[in-house]
Amino acid sequence: MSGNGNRSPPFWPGPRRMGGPAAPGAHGRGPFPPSMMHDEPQVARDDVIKGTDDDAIISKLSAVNLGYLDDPFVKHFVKRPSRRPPLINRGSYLRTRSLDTFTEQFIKSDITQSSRTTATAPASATTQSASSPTSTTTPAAAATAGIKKQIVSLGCGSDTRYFKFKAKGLSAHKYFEIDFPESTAKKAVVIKKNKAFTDIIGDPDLKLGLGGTELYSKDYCLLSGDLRDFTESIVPKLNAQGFDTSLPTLFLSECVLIYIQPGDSDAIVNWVGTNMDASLFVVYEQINPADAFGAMMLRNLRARQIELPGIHAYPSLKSQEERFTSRGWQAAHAVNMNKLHESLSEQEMKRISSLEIFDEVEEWQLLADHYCVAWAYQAKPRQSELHRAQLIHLLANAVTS
Amino acid sequence: MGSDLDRQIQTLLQCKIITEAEVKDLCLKAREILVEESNVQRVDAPVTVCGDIHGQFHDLKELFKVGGECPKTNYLFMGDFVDRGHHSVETFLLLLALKVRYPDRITLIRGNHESRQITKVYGFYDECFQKFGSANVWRYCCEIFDYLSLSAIIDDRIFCVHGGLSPSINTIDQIRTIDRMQEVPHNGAMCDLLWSDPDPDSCTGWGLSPRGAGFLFGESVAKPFLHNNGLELIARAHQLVMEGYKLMFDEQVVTVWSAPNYCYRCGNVAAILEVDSNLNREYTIFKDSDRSSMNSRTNPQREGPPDYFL
Repeated sequence: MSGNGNRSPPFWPGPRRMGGPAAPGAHGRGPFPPSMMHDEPQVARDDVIKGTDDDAIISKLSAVNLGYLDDPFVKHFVKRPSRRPPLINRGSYLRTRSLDTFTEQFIKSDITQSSRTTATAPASATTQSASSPTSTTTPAAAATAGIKKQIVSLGCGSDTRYFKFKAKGLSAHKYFEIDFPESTAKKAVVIKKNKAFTDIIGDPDLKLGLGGTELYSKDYCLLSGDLRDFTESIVPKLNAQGFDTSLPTLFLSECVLIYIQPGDSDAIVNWVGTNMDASLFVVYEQINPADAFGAMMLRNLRARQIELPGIHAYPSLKSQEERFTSRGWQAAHAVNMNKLHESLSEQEMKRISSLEIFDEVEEWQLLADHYCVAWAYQAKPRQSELHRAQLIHLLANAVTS
Repeated sequence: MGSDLDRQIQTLLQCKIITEAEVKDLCLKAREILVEESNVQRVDAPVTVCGDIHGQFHDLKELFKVGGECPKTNYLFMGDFVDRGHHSVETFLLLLALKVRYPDRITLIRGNHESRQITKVYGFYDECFQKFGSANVWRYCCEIFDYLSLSAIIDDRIFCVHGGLSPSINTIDQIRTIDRMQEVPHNGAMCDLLWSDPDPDSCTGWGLSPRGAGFLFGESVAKPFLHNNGLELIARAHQLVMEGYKLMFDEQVVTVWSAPNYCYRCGNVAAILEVDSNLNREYTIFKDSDRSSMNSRTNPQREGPPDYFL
């Protein structure tokens, strides 16, 4: 159009607040005493990390409200919605879409009889660079009926993936969510008092537990705990709720492992790799701390008391893959957000481009270069060769797009 | 008019706002000056050419420190004064006040952010509302945006524009015939001048822009344009360059970027292009001011922290 003075732009800004949400307070003020294991500064840092969920969920709602994402559940977790800048909306959309894709494919993926070919592949420690996990692809029609699967969302925050998928008729045998008790308590209240959520869970025996910090139902469990004590405290809780190490399980970590010390996050990856018969791990987090943008990112986050202890241990796409391959996982692959962005279909790109003005091209490329999605899978040789091949086939299907 | 205006400049230089009535008055005076300017404003060397500022007020002051104060130094700003940074109001009003005070020593041309629609998405509207309690100042400024020239030409040899070329424009004279007194359109020559980008990878000349407005133009388009119009250089802004400036197409096109650590997040340096009276060119690099980076980090509540995915 070449109109004269377009006085009513289609993109009306949201509530007039500059910037993001108020930064979280610097001291513990949750209803729970700080863990005995950590000192005061650690507690303050933990509180800030818990606050990152508020930021993420506001961004997600902004993307939902503008039409990037479809998710009727997010709004229940945001008290003060705020419109975020276009590049943040686009990033929130891409991140969610990417992890949704893994989740959906994992739920839909199944073992098949015709995956026998992979059984002949060298069994252990085949750390192939699996940029093409399609090598095991077989006709999907041969899927056997419903192998049970589990999903574990580490540091779930206010994530709504369980509800979003189950509303569409897609669910795993069990879906476990884990976070700090302060976070799960808030989430449990929202879920318990909203019919929109309880209807989806659809279990009359849905129960609150542990002072309102946990929720138990047939297929959905919200558990509280500290991921730094994964083996000692989280695993027993999972087991108590029917967690089954023999079932193929998807582990999701969305900006979570990066906030804890590499020793602690490695312990989780090690435990999963050692104890699960078949698992797929998907990580979304920051990379590239050393260039000009990355260094500024660390400085800016530090000013908000946010540290990323994991970024130096896994600073690149390659090291994100090696986090898994060096521990014997069969396949691992990591891509940055630019790659994800480029991989959108022309139609989808056109759709999101029409949602709002996007004049942050160079900045977007910089930002997107500093976030990655990494996935890895492994299946234990203790299975029969055939069953193991089937499991690998299932996992490989989940990461094929 | 001297004393009132000088006082307002002093206020703005301290990063403090002037009153709404003063803004209204300033805009009226600016309009009288800008309406007389051509779509291709003639500028005499020596002049210092600057790229995007984007409301990074303290970095603009750093720019003046590096490049010299106005009016001692003759300046040409290639648009994008507002949006993104925390001080679009102070930044634009200071530049405008300098324009009114020293009309022959500072040239302001329009960037794609000098637009009603863009400023509603990228911060200037919100900032005006927050600082003045109404949208009036935003409205006055947007009216001025419509009066800003679209380009400038230094000694008939260096063509300066915010974005770049347009497939509808072959000659400088064609730019002179555009009716610029309007909101930036979504397509056409005026839009392209403010939105286009040079594309070093282009073989075919014109390409689609990822920005959804303007075009990508290649070497095969830029060189004939320069030749046909007797020009030696196209200086433009519009794109973040981590090193502050970037020469392309055998040094016949340059991007000048003047917002250091853009959005308080990008970690880039900035540049200005100093053109002397013989049209010799020198690029000066500068970093963000301590104040700029400190403010954005230590006052996240007041000024809004840079956004990341957390």
